[in-house]
Amino acid sequence: MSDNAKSPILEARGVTKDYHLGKTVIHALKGIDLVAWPGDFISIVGPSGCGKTTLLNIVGCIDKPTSGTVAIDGIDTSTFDDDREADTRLSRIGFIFQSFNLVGVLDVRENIEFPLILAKVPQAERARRIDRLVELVGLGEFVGHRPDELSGGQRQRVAIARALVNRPSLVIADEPTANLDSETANTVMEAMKRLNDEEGVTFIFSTHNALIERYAKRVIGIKDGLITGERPGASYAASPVAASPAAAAAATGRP
Amino acid sequence: MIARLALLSSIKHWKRSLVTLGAVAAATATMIAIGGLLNGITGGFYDSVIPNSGHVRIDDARAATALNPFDPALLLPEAGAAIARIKALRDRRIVDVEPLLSFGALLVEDRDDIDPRNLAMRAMGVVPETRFADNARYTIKEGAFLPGGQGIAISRRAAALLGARLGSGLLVSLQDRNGQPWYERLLVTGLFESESATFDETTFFIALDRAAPMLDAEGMAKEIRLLLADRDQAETVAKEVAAALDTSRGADGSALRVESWQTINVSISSILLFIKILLGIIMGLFAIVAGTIIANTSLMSVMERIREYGTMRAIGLRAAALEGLIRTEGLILGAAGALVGLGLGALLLWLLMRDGIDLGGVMENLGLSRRNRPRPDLLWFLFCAAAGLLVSALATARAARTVASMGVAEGLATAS
Repeated sequence: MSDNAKSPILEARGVTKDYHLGKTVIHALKGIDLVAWPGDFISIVGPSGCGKTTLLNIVGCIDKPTSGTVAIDGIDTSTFDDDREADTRLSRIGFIFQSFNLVGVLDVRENIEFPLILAKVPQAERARRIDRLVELVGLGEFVGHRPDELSGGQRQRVAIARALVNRPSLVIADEPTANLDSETANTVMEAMKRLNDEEGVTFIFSTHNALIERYAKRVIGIKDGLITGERPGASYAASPVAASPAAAAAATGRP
Repeated sequence: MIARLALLSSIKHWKRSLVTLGAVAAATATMIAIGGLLNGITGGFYDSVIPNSGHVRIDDARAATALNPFDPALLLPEAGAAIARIKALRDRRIVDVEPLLSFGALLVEDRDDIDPRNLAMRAMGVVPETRFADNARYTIKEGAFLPGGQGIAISRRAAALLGARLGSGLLVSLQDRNGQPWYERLLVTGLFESESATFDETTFFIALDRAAPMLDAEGMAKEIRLLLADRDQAETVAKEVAAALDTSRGADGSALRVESWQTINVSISSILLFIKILLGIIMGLFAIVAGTIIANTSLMSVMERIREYGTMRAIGLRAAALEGLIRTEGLILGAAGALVGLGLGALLLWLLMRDGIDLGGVMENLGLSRRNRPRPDLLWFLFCAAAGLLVSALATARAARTVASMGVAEGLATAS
């Protein structure tokens, strides 16, 4: 294995995020430490408003922390300007959204191709990668369809293909199954799991669906802007949730 | 991809696109129409008024303050010599030099009647092959313009008022240079119909060689007119001609006055400038209104798609590229609007050109045609299309900047 196997893909240390609403300051994150290793399949769980999306936005270079550092592939992103953040998102991070967020006027192939064009990948290579991904997510016969001609599950699989097409180090999925029925949600999670198992793609996803978090290798709990603990996913082991942030910090200190 | 994305977005959000396109088209078409009107007025001035009066005019300086414009004392006794001196300059800029003998006359119906119809008019004694008097020469409806130097050319309107027609005899009554009354019976050899009722009712034409003996003014002229190849040379030519002629004041106070068309028509030029400024302001207002409509429509349109843009930014689209995408959409709509505007403007001009626009007697009083016919100008068309495109691009820029400066997380969090 390469050095990547030994060094974390994501390393967030002491991340805080404050929002100012007039004179009121809301402390959305109060000092989060999170480390993701190559091949991780991490589920962030917690009640609504606990800070899951804020955390994913920050580790995904979509938002900046108030304090703390975030390193992707060992590179500290907290000092990046807007363009470097965009380039990092383009080349190192893939995103999957709750509402799929496909570009409505583009068909399946064009939606998947969009990040490749931004990354200036040659056309032949683009075609090769798209063909492989649409087969991988089972959308071969829908490449010419527009998003509004697809079911929710199909749209999310397009989003998965789009997130993977630039071969990111990390895929961040914010409640990827929240808008899907349970059967479709399982199909989507199976697809993500297969990509994790077979392709070694690292996923961090948020959910508050207990049935979905069982797919995770690691389940990290958040409440009120703090990590409450970590445990292996139900399919992997049956260990109790770490009882305290200190225990959680210890848990993230593997491999 | 960016251009295709912009085009597809424009089509998908067709209602808003239509508003933007319509605003650009309306502004472009209006500018074309207003510009055409303005071009018609100024073109009429340059093509009609100036050639009628000449690019350079030589007359007696006292004419400026004379109470009677037809005072025989204002005649130029050495007109022939002055013309010969000008021709001797062999200046290629001077296309034609002509004497003109204008005088007051009474046209009287030729019949045995105790009360024949009559019209007090201004007679214009010109060489039959004159290169001036376009509004009569080119509007002859019956007969010809002073054929063989014979007869008189009057307007149809004047003929109707005098009960005359082509071939009729009319008595031309006048007072000669010595104050003696004189009349002659002349045939109507040409009937013209200019666009100015005032001109038609007050002016008739007679051959110079026929008029001079009647006035006992052989070899004289009321004024000398110069036609130039380039009207912009008028000031320079006027100065050079003045230098070549003896313009010193005589014992009776007479002196040659040499003036360019700019000096002669200074008041009309000022009014034209005023009209230009006024129409320019109107065009500017149209551009501002169109720009405001486009800016607001663009802003509403991009705000509706804020999450889509947030997604693109999250995927890795740089802020500048997003701004470019929105600007491209504005340019596409601007270009389409400008094209539609060109078509609409051309149609509007064609409709206005068909019958012209009656601008009323005020224009006639200025010596301009009452009926204005807009004139299309290809360069102006292109300018208007470019202006429409520019207005659209500038108006979209605000929306583009607003969205591009928005945070990615903020964009993603926006409901659509």
